[in-house]
Amino acid sequence: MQSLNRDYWQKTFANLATAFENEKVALCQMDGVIGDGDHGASMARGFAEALAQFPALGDSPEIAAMFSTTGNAFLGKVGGVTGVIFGTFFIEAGKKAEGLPETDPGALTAMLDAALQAIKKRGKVQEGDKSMIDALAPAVDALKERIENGSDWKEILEALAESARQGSEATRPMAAKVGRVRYQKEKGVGHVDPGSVSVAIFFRTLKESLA
Amino acid sequence: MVMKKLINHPDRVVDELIEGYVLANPKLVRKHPRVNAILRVDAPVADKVGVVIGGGAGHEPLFLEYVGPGMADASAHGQIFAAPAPELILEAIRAVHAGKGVMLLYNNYAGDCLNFDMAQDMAREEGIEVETVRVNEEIASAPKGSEADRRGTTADHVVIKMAGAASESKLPLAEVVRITQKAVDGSRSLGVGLSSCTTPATGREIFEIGDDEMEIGMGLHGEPGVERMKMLPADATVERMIPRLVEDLPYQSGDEIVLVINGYGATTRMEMFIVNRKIRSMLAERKIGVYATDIGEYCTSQEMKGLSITFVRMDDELKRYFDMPCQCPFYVRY
Repeated sequence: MQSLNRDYWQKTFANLATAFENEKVALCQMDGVIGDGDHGASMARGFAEALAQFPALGDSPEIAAMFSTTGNAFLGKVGGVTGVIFGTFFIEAGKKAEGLPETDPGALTAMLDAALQAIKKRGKVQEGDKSMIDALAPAVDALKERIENGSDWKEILEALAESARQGSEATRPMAAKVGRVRYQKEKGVGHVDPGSVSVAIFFRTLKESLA
Repeated sequence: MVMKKLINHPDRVVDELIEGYVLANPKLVRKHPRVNAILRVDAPVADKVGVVIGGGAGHEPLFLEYVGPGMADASAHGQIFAAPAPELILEAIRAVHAGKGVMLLYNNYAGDCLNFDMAQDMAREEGIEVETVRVNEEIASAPKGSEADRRGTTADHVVIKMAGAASESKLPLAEVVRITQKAVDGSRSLGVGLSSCTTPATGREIFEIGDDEMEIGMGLHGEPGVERMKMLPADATVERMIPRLVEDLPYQSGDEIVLVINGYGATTRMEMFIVNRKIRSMLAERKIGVYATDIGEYCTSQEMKGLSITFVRMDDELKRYFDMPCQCPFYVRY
């Protein structure tokens, strides 16, 4: 079974920077309808800032270091809601990767679970509130389910990407309970949550980086 | 509407406005050497609780220009309409901490709450005593009973003054928090928007409103209000706003308030004075006294047209702190 080792994650973070640069305008437009229109630019800025700091981590950086560097880039350089929420995601996931030469399915579960719980606490947000949690939580569930079934990485990452995509799509009819959009009369009904789209892009990139 | 502003590049707007502001006021403020925080020149002030304010840029004079003796010790600046990052806030906290603790004072928006909360956690881990007061006085943003969901706006003008005076009096952190919170609790605001503004971040209008329309309760970032209608004359507009404000707290016969009339950025002082006389007559009918009136631009939204009306209920204690001297470049009491 192929492992998610340092090389994989190094390639993945580079791919994430490219993916979010490509999706920047689309995400900003999505956010412009129901938020303040900064989400795409914030995501792209976070990954670009992180990637710029990777060379300082050495030729083959620790997985935990890549996650914490990315988290700190989001926290330090991005601001807004996006900076804190995605900063928390990478920092908390990174803590669970401490000392690991590779992330096996159990480790990835622990990382994503820790990130999910921390974001729920930090953002005071629950499933169904119309947030990035609505893509992240089903992805974590899918991961656990696939591990029980003894799936390989390809199947696991495909399931992660698909469940996150579906979770994001499921935010479309939701009325927002968090964020600026809750002040709008329609509370964002009819629009997907841009943060959940970013989670879907994240897992899609993980899947594509395996090839 | 096409954006028409004297700027250089959208990414440099905040850096450059801070640079220009500091150059104009070198005796009063300095910029933090590493981050977009404005500090009192003499920060940290010995034996004094540090007051850190902040939020997204683009609302000048808020928050940038509220730093000075008798006002805030530092303001932390995000990008246009976006909350500052936790590390930036943390640097501001460290820079003003004089061993007596620090109070964070900001408006109740999701992004600000997240970033300031995180900075508060980080500062506490370093052993700095930090407490928070959130301003949430805007009544159109959530119904009565859901006050915790309400946004903060122009009450900042008076609330920051109270926090500055209380901390300048060398009161302990808990007292500075109590007095500031009392000012917030007695505050209510309601605005009316007549036109949108363009934001340098996108170069576009942030919302649409007809040339012949106005919207009562519209937020600073174009958040929908409570009532959109055809333009009304000044008096008829005020008649629709004052009852909502009075009944929300409620302000009662015999109460005394500080009245703030705030232009959103493209409102003439002429209009604000005309509005003021109607407000005063309606308050007089209700036997609500006006202790002081501030009319001007305090909490703006670029070139947006319209204004907001803020009441802050006073008692003897709050009057004392309101009357203490303060100095920031656009607002002086002595």
